[in-house]
Formats: sequence, C-alpha cells, structure tokens
Amino acid sequence: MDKSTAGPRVVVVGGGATGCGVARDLILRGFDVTLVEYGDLGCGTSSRFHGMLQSGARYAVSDTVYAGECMRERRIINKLAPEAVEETGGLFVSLPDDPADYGDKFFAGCQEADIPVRELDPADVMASEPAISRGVHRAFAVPDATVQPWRLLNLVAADIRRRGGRVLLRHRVTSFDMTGGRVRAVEVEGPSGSLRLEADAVVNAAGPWSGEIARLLGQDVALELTKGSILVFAHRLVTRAINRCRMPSSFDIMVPTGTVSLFGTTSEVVDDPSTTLVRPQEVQDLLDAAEPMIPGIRDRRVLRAWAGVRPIVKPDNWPSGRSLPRRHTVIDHGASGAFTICGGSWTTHRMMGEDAGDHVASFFGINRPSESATTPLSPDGGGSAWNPTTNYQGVEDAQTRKRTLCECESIDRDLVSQMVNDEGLKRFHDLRRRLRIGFGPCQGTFCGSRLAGLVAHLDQDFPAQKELEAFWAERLKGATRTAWGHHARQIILSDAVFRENLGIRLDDKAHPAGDDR
Amino acid sequence: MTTTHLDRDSHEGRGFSVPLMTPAMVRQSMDNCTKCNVCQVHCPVAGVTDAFAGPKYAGPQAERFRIIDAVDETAPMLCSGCGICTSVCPNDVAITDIITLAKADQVDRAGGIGLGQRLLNRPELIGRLGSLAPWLANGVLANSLFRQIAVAVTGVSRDAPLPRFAGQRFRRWLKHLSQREGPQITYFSGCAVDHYDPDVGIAAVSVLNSLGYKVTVPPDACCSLPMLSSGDFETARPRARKMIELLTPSAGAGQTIVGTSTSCTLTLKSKYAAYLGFDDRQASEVAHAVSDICGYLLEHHADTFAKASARVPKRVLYHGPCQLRGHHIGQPALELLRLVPGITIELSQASCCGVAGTYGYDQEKRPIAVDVGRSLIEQIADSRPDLVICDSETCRWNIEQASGVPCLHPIQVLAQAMELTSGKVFQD
Ligand SMILES: Cc1cc2nc3c(=O)[nH]c(=O)nc-3n(C[C@H](O)[C@H](O)[C@H](O)COP(=O)(O)OP(=O)(O)OC[C@H]3O[C@@H](n4cnc5c(N)ncnc54)[C@H](O)[C@@H]3O)c2cc1C
Ligand code: SF4
Ligand code: SF4
Repeated sequence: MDKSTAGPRVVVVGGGATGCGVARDLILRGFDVTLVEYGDLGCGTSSRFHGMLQSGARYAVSDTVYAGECMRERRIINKLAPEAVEETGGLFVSLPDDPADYGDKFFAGCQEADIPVRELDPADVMASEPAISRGVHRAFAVPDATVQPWRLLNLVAADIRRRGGRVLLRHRVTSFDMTGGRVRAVEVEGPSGSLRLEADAVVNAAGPWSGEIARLLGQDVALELTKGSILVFAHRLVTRAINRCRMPSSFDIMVPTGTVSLFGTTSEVVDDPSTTLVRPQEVQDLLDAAEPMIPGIRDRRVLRAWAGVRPIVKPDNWPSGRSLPRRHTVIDHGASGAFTICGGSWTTHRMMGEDAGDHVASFFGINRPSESATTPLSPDGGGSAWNPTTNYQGVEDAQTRKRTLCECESIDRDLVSQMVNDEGLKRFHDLRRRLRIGFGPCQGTFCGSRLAGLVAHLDQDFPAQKELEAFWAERLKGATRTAWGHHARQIILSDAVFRENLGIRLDDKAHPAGDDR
Repeated sequence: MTTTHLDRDSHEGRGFSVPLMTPAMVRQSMDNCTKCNVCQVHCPVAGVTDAFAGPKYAGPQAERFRIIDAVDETAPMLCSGCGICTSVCPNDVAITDIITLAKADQVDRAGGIGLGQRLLNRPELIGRLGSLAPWLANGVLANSLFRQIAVAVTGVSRDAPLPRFAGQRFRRWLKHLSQREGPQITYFSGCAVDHYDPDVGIAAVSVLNSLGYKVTVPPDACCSLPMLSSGDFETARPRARKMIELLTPSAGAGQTIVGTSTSCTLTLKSKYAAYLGFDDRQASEVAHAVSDICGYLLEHHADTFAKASARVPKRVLYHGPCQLRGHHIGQPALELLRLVPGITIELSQASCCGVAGTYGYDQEKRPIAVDVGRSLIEQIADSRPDLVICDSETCRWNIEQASGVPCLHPIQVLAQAMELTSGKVFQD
C-alpha cells in the first residue's frame, strides 16, 4: 500500500457524499488517498435522503448564507455531472395554513442569496400540477434539482481510482494506531481479513457514525442524530419538487426523483446511528401531513418507506430548542493529523470536501488550492442530462423490449451483463444500486429472478440463490411498511413468487448490513 | 379514487351503469398494477406478434415514464383497442384506456393521422357518399384495380371486409313506419345501420315496437369511436360534443337510449369521459342513459321472450364481441338466444375476431388481425353452423367474409323468434 512518490497519505473514513467529496478534493491536491467504506458507496445517509440538489431556497429565510452556498454548489455539481442531476425545478407554494407574510420574506431571502426566484400565478401552478391542493395562494419557482446518489458517487469513486487513489468497499475501520499522539495507521477489516493502512492523516467522514470513529481516535465529538423517514410513492405525482412556503420544518416536501416521488420527512432525535426503522405511526404522520399538499394522498400507492439519520455537530453552548445550523463543521483534532467533518448536506458535499482539504493541506503546510470545482469528473468531460424516461426511450428507439431485465425501470439486460463483466460486480444489491434494478412497483419480483438467471449464467459458482434471498429480504423489509391497498396485493403476489416459485426462505441472516433502502 | 356519479333517483330501471372515469383517473389506475402478467397472456394481439409490446408494457408500465417526459414510442400503436386486457385485469387497471391516451399523444406528436385511417374514421361520410349511388360505389369497391389504387393511396387493406353500401334503406323504412303511442325509448342506430346494415335497425325497431315502445331515432351521426381509438382526439372532440347534444333530449326526458352496436354504445357510455374528459352533468346524463339493446331486453323483457317465441330451428355459433366486455353486462344476447326454442347454440372459443373496429382494415395491421381471428374462423369451419351471431358490425362483416357463413346481429334472430317479418333476413 506504500506509495512514497505521492504526497502525504490520507485515509478517509466513510464512503458517503462527504467522504467522497473529501477524498476527491485531496487527490486533486496531490495527496495519496485511500477511501474506506464499510458497505457500498452511499449506503448510509447519502442514499437515505430526499434526493434533492437544493437551490438553497429552503433556507433563504432561516440561513441566507448557507442558502447562497447551496445555490453555488448546486450549479457546480450540475456542471460536473449532468448525467447524475435532473433539473426538475422546484416550487414553493403557500397553502391556506402557511403564514401569509412568509412569501415576501422568502422572495427577499432568495434574492439576497442569489437564488433565481420567480413568482408564478397560482392558477397556472395548479393547472400544471394537477395533484396538488387547489388552495395555493402564492407560488414561487426556484431552480431545485434532484441528484441520483449512486450515479454521482460512483462517478466520483471512478475519478479517484483513475487518479491513483484507492476505494476500499466493504471494509470497516476498526482502530487507529496513534503511537506518539500522531496518526500512524488505520486498521481495517474486509472480506479477506484485516489490513493495516499506513497513514499520515485521517479524515473522519463517517456521517452519523462519526461519533464512533471519533471515539476510536480518542476524541469526543458531540453529535445530534436526527432520524428522518420518507415515503416513496409509486410514480411521479408532481413534476417539480414541491415545498411548503414556510420556515423549513418537517413534513413539507414532495420530490419527484427517478420514476417515483418522495414525501418527507419526519424528524426525531435518536441515539443509534444505524437505525433504519420506520415506525407505523411515522407512516401515518407522513400521510396526514401530506394530505393538505396532495389531497387524496391515502389513495396513492406507496412502494416503501425508509429512514436516514442526519448527523449534525452541536456547537458549544448552543441554546437548547433552537434548530441546529445546517452548515457543516470541520474539527481539527489537535496536532494528531486527525480531522472530523460532519453536518452539511448532499448538495454541499463538494464544498465540504474543499473545506476539509484546506485543513489537511494547511496541516502539512501544503499551499495548493482546491481544484474540485473546476476539474471535470469524467475524462470525456461529462455526460448528457438523464432522466428515467431516457431508459424507456432507449428501449423504444432500439426496439429491444424483449431484452428488458427490469420492466419497471426499463433496464436492458445487456447493461447488466456489461456491468457484471466489466466491473466484476455480481452482488444483486450492488447492481441494483448502480442500475436502479428493482426500484419500481414490483420491487424486484420479476427482475430479481431474471437477474439471478443472468448472473448464474455468467458465473456458475456464484451463489445466486443466496443472493436472491438477500435481495428479496431487503426489498420486502422496506415494502411491508407501506403494504396496504394495491401494494398489499403486490407484496402478497411477490412473496408468493419468491417463496413458491423460487423456493426462497427468509431468515434474520438473509440480509447483510448496509444493503437496505 | 373518486368517481363521477349522477344521482340515480330519476334514472331507475335503465340497466347497468358504469362509473365514469376521466383521463386523470385512467392514468392513476396505473398504480394498481402488480405486474402479474394476466393481461399479457390474454392480449390477442401480443399472442400473435412480437411486434406488439403487450398491454402491461404499453399500459401501466410505460405510463410511469410518459408522465415524466414526452417520449417517441411505438409501443401503444399496435393495440387494437379490443379491451380484453382491461376486462381480465384483476387489479382494475384501465389498461386499454391508458394505451389509447398514449396513442393519442403519439398521433399529436406526429402531427395527425394518415389518410387511410382518416377515411376509416369517417364511416358516416363514406356511408353518405356511397349512399348517393350504392350500386356504383359497390361496383367500384368490388373492382380489384380500384382496390389496388385505393390501398396505395390510403393504406386501407385490400383484403379488408368492406361492407356493401345499402343506401338510406333504414331511414326510408323508418319514414314510412307508423308507430302506436307507448312508453318512449330512443334507438341509436349508428353508422353501420344507417349505411350498410339496415336490417339490423329494422329488426331492432320492430322488436321494440312489438314490445309496446314508441321508438325515437336521432338523426344520422357518428359516435366518433374510430377517431378515438386511433388517437385522433382533436377531430373527435367537437363531434362527440355534438353527439351528446343530439342525445340530450332523450336522456333529459328520462328515456333509455338503446343501441345495436356494442362499440358505439360503449363509446357513449364511457369513452367520452375516459378519453375526452367529458364528465359534466349533460355528458354523464347521456352516458348513463345508454344501454346495449340486448342488455336492456334481458333486464326488462326476458319474460316475453321466454313465453312468446316461435321456433328457430338453427344451429348457430355465438361470438360475443370483444367490446362487449367493456359493458360489464356479461353476454345478454346469449341469454336471450337461449330462450328461443329450437335453436342450438355453440359458443365461440375466441376472445376477439381480430378486426376490432377499424383495426383490421389498416393495411399494416391486417395480417395481425387475420392471425388473431384465425382460431374463430377455424372453429366455424369445423362446426359449420347455419349462422354466426355477433353483436358488433365490423366483426360480422369480417366473420362473414372470412368464413363464408352468414353472420347476423342477435336482434335479427330475436325478431325472427317474434315472427316480425319486416326484420326477417333469413329463410327457413
Ligand atoms: C431524511 C433526510 C433527508 C435529507 N435530504 C437531503 C436533500 O434532499 N438534499 C441534501 O442535500 N441533503 C439532504 N440530507 C442530508 C444529507 O443526506 C446528508 O448530509 C449526507 O448524506 C451525509 O453524508 P455523509 O457522507 O456525511 O454520511 P453517510 O452517507 O452516512 O456516510 C457515512 C459512511 O460512513 C460509513 N461508515 C460508518 N462507519 C464506518 C466504519 N467503521 N468504517 C468504514 N466506514 C464506515 C457508512 O457505511 C456510511 O456509508 C438529508 C438527510 C436526511 C437524514
Ligand atoms: S386492448 Fe386488446 S389489443 Fe390492446 S393491449 Fe388490450 S388486449 Fe391487447
Ligand atoms: S393484468 Fe392488470 S395487474 Fe396484471 S400485469 Fe396487467 S395491468 Fe398489471
């Protein structure tokens, strides 16, 4: 692992948005970077989120500075990776319950934060968004967008690898060698045993697990962990991200992303960073809260629910009851060469990486500015805009219907074979995340068995049956939380297909950590 | 899901009424799909050609993409609109209607429909032209050179079962008809009766008269179904509205509007709402007043047929047309025919004869239609019935041409059973 020709060796802990942002920033500054991720890229909060690349308008009133940062970052990300971003646009709508004076403050805040904002005629908005309430009395358009998390993280990881960095997936950081009060090495455990990674510095970017990693570093980082749960509706109920025009709070956004739409979120302080539990009461609360925005919401099909944990560093002497700042924090753990970066958001992950990079560079006395905002992510300079319809249009153009592996998402089987052959990926969850297999209404019922057939054909030693168990166990877990009405029929049919046709038996061990959502 | 209902107080005794679905409700039904594939297996078109993606694919599945962004697709285009998928779906997905809405989007994007389909979409116009000089028109259509030219210009299949123009025979007969006073009923004759199949109309009015009704027949106009099912909504819209105006006096007076064409009555009952979004009070009133004639007779006059029937010693094969399923009334004609003494009935084993409205007339789709209808034609060839009975006109013309066995509307047999000579169309 020694690469003495490069700059100082930095290990980044955590392969979420933050860790990926940090690792890329560092490698562009000439550091020798190893990114260590316990599961797959983005298996933590970075995939259990609301999907938005925020314009910042949400914080236009509550935190105008942060709002402006979001807008700047959102522009940069879209330039770097148009293939992972969808320019859906966003709306802020005032419903009868929303404060009458917020609209003007909102408009002023957006202008101050340099967020392009336009007031729209509520009648036009209601005509173009038939699902939303007929009680809209003010409406504003802002450039909110959505991001495909795995697509972007994999682009970043590919760039890191291309530049000589290492990305270790399914490796867990277990301890640090801090002999002499300085970072010496990081101990990790992976599928083929433990490894010692020599290091000159460590960046703890473990999101909600940052507190645990800090403890391994002998540090105490006070985090507030807030769990947010989200409902996944079976199709896009709205064309733009719909926000309530009021101070940001829980239960106020509906986001169209992928082929689905997400409503959220709940908000409750938790102790366990690994919790992914969505309580039945939360589902009911979400439905109740969505009703004023989307009347008749209970008649809409909900595919599943998930929860993510937002890690925020509690500033010293922060008055209790006041909502914590959104902006991230970088903590320099003295002269040890260890840093923790936490908070912030998906939208600002690049900027967070830059900030952490500045700290690490100055620690080593290196005076090289960040290049992550201007260096293209892909050697060919970036792809073209994508939305899920692109998949369907592709199949229709090439008339390859008979080769479709995942029907709900219109995924061609050749795409899957290519990924298995070129990248050696065979685990169904890895393929699922990269290609969106099994994300639609049937939650993997029909593509699951096709996938098993295809992978088993390409690699006869691959334990396809076991993988299928893990696949369905995970899909079922998220889907049973919202199994009523037609979706309940789906789950019964799907479970019957897995159990009766494919002989799948589920037990507690069926699904490995970090694979759900 | 909310449904548009009319308050039913003043509409008792009108037979079955289906709740009206608007395009938004049609689209929303995509969420009900569990991907079970039942529709895929039953779709007669998908059963004979891989060129068609099938109902699940072209319906609820593709709809999730269409609502995100406009697409250029061929997936919906080969659907015949037969409605079988919708009727077999265990989860109430309005599959046929989703596909038809998608077809209309594609037609819009392409800037309209082709000449052939435009012609096929105007049966009343062609009918009126042909009626000016039926002998000349029939002669021309029988001429193979003319047909070849027509195929090249219009895309209408040269082998299509074109009916013979009958002139204004039904309307002329009606003009000389004297009716007794009695309960009022409206008979919607449709293009087929007005221009090609007058005997069906004569039989229908005669049966209704003999049951004591005074029959009103609205002026000759087309319900616009061919336009709707080929996706030409914009041309259909004002015509459909006019049709509703035309039927409003009857519906408003509380009359039932019966029809002999299963597809026209289905259009009046539910497709104006599903495709054009007509769910206002006037449109709903008309929709709820419409009934398939056999459905109406079975509900209100089964006794008469059970008692008063003359023997019809015929071996018949009954084919319930695909569009009948959309009425959700079972096969009332079959039940009525079973009351007729002397008749031996064999049931068609096919779900569709292939022609499905004007689908089988299109040059490109004709081979598919022939394949879809093959099993029915073979069944007829095997069992050699005296007659085939079917409620839908294009099906009858198709079956008659393909099998060589005469094909009648059930009302013609019922008229015979009631010994109503004016509607008599076959000899013992
Ligand atoms: C409900 C919800 C909705 C949100 N919506 C939005 C939104 O719409 N837009 C937006 O911009 N932001 C949103 N956010 C915020 C955003 O999702 C987070 O700020 C961001 O994803 C945090 O990323 P992260 O990399 O810090 O943490 P994570 O993504 O959790 O990454 C931490 C990683 O560390 C790994 N790890 C943990 N322990 C170890 C170990 N011992 N060894 C190795 N690896 C380890 C974990 O497996 C994990 O992958 C939302 C947050 C929540 C909770
Ligand atoms: S309407 Fe008929 S042809 Fe069209 S998809 Fe349904 S079953 Fe198939
Ligand atoms: S029959 Fe209905 S539920 Fe089954 S696949 Fe077809 S549309 Fe979906």
